[in-house]
Amino acid sequence: MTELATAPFETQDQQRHAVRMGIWMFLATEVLFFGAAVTVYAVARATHASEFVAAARDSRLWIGTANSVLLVTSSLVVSLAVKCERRGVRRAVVPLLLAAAALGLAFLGAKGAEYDLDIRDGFWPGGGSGVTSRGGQLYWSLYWLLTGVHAVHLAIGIGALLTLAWLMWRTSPRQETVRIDRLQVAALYWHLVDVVWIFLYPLLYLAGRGP
Amino acid sequence: MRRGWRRILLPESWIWLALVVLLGVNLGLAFLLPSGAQIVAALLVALAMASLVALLFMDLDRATSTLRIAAGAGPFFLAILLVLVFADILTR
Repeated sequence: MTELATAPFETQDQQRHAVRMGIWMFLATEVLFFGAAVTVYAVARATHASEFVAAARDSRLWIGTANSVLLVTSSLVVSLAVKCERRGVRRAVVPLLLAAAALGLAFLGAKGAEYDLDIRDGFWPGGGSGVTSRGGQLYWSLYWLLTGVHAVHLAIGIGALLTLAWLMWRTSPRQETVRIDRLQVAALYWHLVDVVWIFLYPLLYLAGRGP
Repeated sequence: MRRGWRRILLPESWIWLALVVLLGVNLGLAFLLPSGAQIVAALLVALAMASLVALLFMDLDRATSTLRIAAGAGPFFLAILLVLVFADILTR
């Protein structure tokens, strides 16, 4: 039985294209959302360079690096899920989605542990310890803002992957367009969360460690 | 089923490996370069990683021109934001 396109689309191709256009438009808003915060970072770092960079040295490099590997791996797993669905290896899709969600949860776990350490060490504006300079306060404010908002996005992504895993389990393999479209939308959102972290990592964890 | 798996897993794994290597490069450069050069290098490496994810994981390499333009819209307007903000700050 061939799938029909859903109104207002006339063909499946048009529908597929519109779905992708829609998610990319949404991702553009996300890029600007994080981009605005990163612009604030750029201005803060440019105007309080030495204090800002000195404060960044206190960030936990190894947790940040481990988290980067986790997210990049989760992107691989999500991409594999999409490719498997596209090439008919459908049994792998749900396990792959669950694996990606698990990697996302591991990221959040590590982030939580990191936040716990940060709070204990007083690394928040007005928390004493090493955050006495203006530049330091700016750095740590931005750290909590950027990583916090990113973590919220990641949590939403995990929810989306788990929901998608359930939907894929329930949707017949014959409904090809519905399956691949849903998968594509969730996958693109997940990859964007990864790309955001790819930029946050050097901005927040790699500053001030050189000569 | 196994043969199908390997044909999918292998090319994707190379992309993953490239991303992890670039991550390592970024980490290494952080210890080697002074702050000014480090931020530029780090952003260039991040851009390379993001491009790999966008092209190969997010399928922009096989997308229509319309989709690519849509994908570029976010970064394009972000670039305008950054240029205008820094044109202000650097000329004060």
